[in-house]
Amino acid sequence: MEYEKIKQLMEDMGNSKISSINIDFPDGTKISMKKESQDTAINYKADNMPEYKEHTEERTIENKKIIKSPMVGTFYLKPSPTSAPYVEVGKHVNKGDTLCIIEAMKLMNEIESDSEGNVVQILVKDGETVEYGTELFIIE
Amino acid sequence: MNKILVANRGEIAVRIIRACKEMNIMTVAVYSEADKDALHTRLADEAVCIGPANSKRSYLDIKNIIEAANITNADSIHPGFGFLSENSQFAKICEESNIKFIGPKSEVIRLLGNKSNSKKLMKKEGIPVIPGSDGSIRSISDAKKVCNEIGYPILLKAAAGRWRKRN
Repeated sequence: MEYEKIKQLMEDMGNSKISSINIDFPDGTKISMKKESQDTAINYKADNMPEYKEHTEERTIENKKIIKSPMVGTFYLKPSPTSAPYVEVGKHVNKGDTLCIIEAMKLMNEIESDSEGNVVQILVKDGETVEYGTELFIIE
Repeated sequence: MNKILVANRGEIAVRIIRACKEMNIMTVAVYSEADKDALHTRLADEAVCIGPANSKRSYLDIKNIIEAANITNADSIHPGFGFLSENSQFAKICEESNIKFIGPKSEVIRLLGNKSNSKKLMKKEGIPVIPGSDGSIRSISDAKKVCNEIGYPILLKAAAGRWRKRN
């Protein structure tokens, strides 16, 4: 089939309302065309392109804030095995208060609260391991 | 080796994990938030999230990767290629953390990372190398001198990385 004829076919296809066409010519030539409609293209984009947020340390549900782990490591609620925990459920915390420690590569990293409120839930047990993004506390 | 952490993603990680499965070695995948549902995270026995989508803070974050190996009790790390595979610092930290780095010793990576140094080393060991300058070229007159000695065409290469200029 000549190029010009194929080109003509493509143009006609573009102007028509049909979305796909399959033609088998007697000489064995096969032509298959499919038109992407605008709608499906847009939906595809919306479904497949999640938004990535850099600041994952906190997530808000209604008035609650979820504090997430900024690193991989081991979670500790107390500064040492014999001391009292930094926070307990029901305790009021201010911005900048230490909530817990995450040990990573033998370093103790103090995790501070970036919001003010009451601790409503502690989601990880003392001594458990956490990943990046593991939810640690819910603050209300 | 009982359990290998694969510090990579995509088909590189998948290939390593499959090889481990054939050899009955447990595997740990690491992933950024962008790759949460990637195939390598599902193929491995365990998977640890090591950071956000930006690979500088995930697949290149030495601390999170070493710690991911620690919390999963992985005894070895396979870096795949790219990312931390040619990072001598990473290999060194693995050695110091008693984790087997599957690749060259950190000292070897360090020596080969710099092209001027590695060429010098090869010459010293009596291994034939293509003609070129002894160490870095620091001025145009230096360059001209070397060019006249070795003849054209020549290739100008940075000591580190892949940048080059041809003439």
